[in-house]
Amino acid sequence: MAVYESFAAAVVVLAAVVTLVGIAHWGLAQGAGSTWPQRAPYLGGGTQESHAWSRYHARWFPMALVFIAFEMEMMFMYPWAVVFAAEGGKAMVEMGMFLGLLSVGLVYAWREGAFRWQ
Amino acid sequence: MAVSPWRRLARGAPVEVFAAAGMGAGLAHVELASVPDLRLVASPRHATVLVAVGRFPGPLGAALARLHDQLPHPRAAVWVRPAGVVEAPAALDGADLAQTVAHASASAVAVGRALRDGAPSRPDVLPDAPPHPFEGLGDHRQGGEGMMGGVPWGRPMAMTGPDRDGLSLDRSEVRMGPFLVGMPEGVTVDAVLQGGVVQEASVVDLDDGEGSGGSPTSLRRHRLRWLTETCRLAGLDALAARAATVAVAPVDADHSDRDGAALVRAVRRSGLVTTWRDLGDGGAAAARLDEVLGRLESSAADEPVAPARRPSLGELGHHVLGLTWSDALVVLHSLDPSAIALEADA
Repeated sequence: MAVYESFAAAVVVLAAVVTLVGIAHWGLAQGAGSTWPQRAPYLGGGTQESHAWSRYHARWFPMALVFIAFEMEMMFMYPWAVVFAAEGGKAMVEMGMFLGLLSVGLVYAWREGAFRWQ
Repeated sequence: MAVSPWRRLARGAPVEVFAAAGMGAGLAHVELASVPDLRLVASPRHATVLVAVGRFPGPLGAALARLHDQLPHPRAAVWVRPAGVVEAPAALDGADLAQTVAHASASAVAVGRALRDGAPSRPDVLPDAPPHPFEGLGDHRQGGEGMMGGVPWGRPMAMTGPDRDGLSLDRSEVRMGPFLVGMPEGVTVDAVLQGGVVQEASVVDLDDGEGSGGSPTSLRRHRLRWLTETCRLAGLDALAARAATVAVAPVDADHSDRDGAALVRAVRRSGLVTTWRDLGDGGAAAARLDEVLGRLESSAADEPVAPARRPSLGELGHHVLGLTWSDALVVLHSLDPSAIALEADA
């Protein structure tokens, strides 16, 4: 057992050393010879006129919302199926409330046009 | 030394070259692309040698300086200096000079291999300072001032404007070009982007109006030059190298042009025309590509034409509104004013 433990410890230490050396090497490479003109984004010789921090429309956002609504609903239904066998009607009501809340999200996604393909 | 066989192998590999076309560069790109010992790359970050061709007046010279400094060390530069040009732009001060593109490619291979053997690298042209100063500015020396409407890190913050989804989102202002793959010679685009979508674009001509220069060449070669750039823009590098080889090869005595016909078939098989139909420009770029392929198929004639004077760029920017930037670049390339002027003269 002790052999395996010391082997595992050696692997962990080795991994840590390799990681640290890698990070140090990367850090040194970043600093070495890197000047302001070299760090500028490549725009074919052009320049960025306004600050690069700009908010844009993530158009997949409504689709992600719908995915989460349906995915989480299905995930919770598996353990619920086990409880339903024991609890019966009470569990059914509780699940009804849960689905009711989720359908609010569904209605919201509908209003946002998530189901309209564009 | 144990590494010497590997070093020898690496030394024999093609030299990565970024070609910067100034005014009057003509067919330089295809000549460089057809040299087996050179590999044309799409970004200066991947290049060892900068090959600059033609004149670089005013703002073109400034853009070239920015480009030059973006090549990683070790790097070298070769300039194909047109006859009559004496003053070198700052980026090409002390660069190897060549009379023709053929000389330049030989020189690029030589200096590229010398760099692998440890030859010294070219220093930066621009000062090592932020292009938009910000350090120490502001009431508390925090660097710039304000957020919305302010200048927090030397550049003005993007302001909001209506976008295509009816939202109010940031408008990012950039100047693209003139050395992007596919961009017409000496052209930059002042674009306002929201995400990747072009909301406003004005095309700026950096030509100083001294004529496009260059030696007379044939329409067929111009079409093949355009096709080479098209393939590079689409990421079809093998087809681009093939188009370049066909472009520089002499035409068969019997005008059969078997290589040209095979090239056109290969480009058609690549599905590029079909892909370009969905760009969002109503299929105009695809139609233009189809037309060029058709003309290459129908005529192997190689009569020389005089270099055409470039027409005014005018409303070129209108064609790219509402497109994503990558599609906009394809549309700009398909509307290359010099190529269209040549076709109109023919």
